Amino acid sequence: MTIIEFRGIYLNFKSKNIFKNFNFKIESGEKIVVFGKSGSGKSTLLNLLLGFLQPESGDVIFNGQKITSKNIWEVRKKIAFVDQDVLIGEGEVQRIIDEYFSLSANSGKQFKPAELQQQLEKFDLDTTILTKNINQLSGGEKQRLALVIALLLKRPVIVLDEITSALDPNLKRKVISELLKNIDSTLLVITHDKEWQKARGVRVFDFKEKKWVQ
Amino acid sequence: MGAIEISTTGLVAAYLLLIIPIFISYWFNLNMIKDTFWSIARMSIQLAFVGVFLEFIFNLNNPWLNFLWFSLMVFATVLSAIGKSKIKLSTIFLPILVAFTIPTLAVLLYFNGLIIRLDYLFEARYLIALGGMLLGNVLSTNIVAINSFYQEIRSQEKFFRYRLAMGATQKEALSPFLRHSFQLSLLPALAKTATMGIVSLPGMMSGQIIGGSSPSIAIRYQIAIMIAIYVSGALSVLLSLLFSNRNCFTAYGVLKEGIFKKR
Repeated sequence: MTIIEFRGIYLNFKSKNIFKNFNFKIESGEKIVVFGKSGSGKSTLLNLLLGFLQPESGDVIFNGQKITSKNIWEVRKKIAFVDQDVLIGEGEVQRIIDEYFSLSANSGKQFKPAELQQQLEKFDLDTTILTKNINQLSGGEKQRLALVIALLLKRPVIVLDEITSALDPNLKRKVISELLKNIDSTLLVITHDKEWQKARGVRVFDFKEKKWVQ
Repeated sequence: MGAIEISTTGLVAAYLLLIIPIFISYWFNLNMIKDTFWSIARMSIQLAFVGVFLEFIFNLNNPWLNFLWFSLMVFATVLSAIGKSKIKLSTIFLPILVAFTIPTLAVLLYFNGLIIRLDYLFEARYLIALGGMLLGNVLSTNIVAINSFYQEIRSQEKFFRYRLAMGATQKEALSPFLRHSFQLSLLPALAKTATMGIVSLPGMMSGQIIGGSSPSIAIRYQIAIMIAIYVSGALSVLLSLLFSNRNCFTAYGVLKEGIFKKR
């Protein structure tokens, strides 16, 4: 079943043509890597999906329904998003995690402390970070923390924008492998990092050429 | 007992005091003599006009005229607040007008009706004098609130969008910014309230005492007016941010690009 579809998208952004009759489909449960250079406009894909930008023509379709200003709020509840800057809040880490779980979109969702601990360990994080102020965390730690929050939310789609940018090569491989073996959700990764192309079980889309390469 | 009237000679004596700052400016070459003359002259002329006008309004004490004068005060406050904000006038004029009028008028009528128990709620002396005090405070708190709210959303747009992307409702996505703007705009007023009588002796209280009221009456007025100022400030900040954001965000919840004034 197709979960995300970009159908006949035209978009100019900052006087640059990003999409010209762009068509792109993701089936439910697929792990997709959209590969392209920095500044090529590939994050625009996510901005269209999350309703931060609207195409000049064409449709973005989620679960068979065209995304509009009415249903975008429901669409966002089904997506867990992590971006490279990981500006996710201020203050104590545990409080930040709790705050995202207190959003009405997550009402009824809970996680056990053991589950949190397990996820943190998978991404080489210690539970002591929970009592730290987020400003004490390194860029890489923040990226992995945001990933943990995204996974704990157990949403049908996980969208990652350059999330391995602040990780060293070993940690990067570990994070990629944990992500791919850990989740049943549909995964959409936007990256310029070649490490993702080497990963098993992913379909790779070349953003510059606008075609599937793997 | 009323205040002792200041005679013309007395007023001249007051102006004579200005010799001191003028002398300081001259001695230290501060280049402020012209500014001093200009400011004092402007203040004197403005107050003379207001004095004549208020005398006229107070004598007439017509409810429609009183209300019209109050409305003009609100209007001027709204224009001044938006003028000092970074948001375009056309974008937020109406929401801010409503957000300033409702709390100020509600608190004023409550004050006149239930606190000082006036028979005539639109009594010019109270409506205009108290209204001016409330609006002055509404102006200063809202300039801080509106500016900090929208500028922080703009400067932290990635964080704001992350919250939206994670499924937050508009209200949930805005809540950290709302919280911070509230604190930023109202905490100084609270701090000032807490030191009242020690650090600052309120002008209204001094005025009443000079005007012949007993200190105990003046203090009661001062307590009531400080509470009224705080309540109208808090309520107006809440309404300003809530009402104005309808015009400042797209239906997708994103901050509109064209709402800020061009630099």
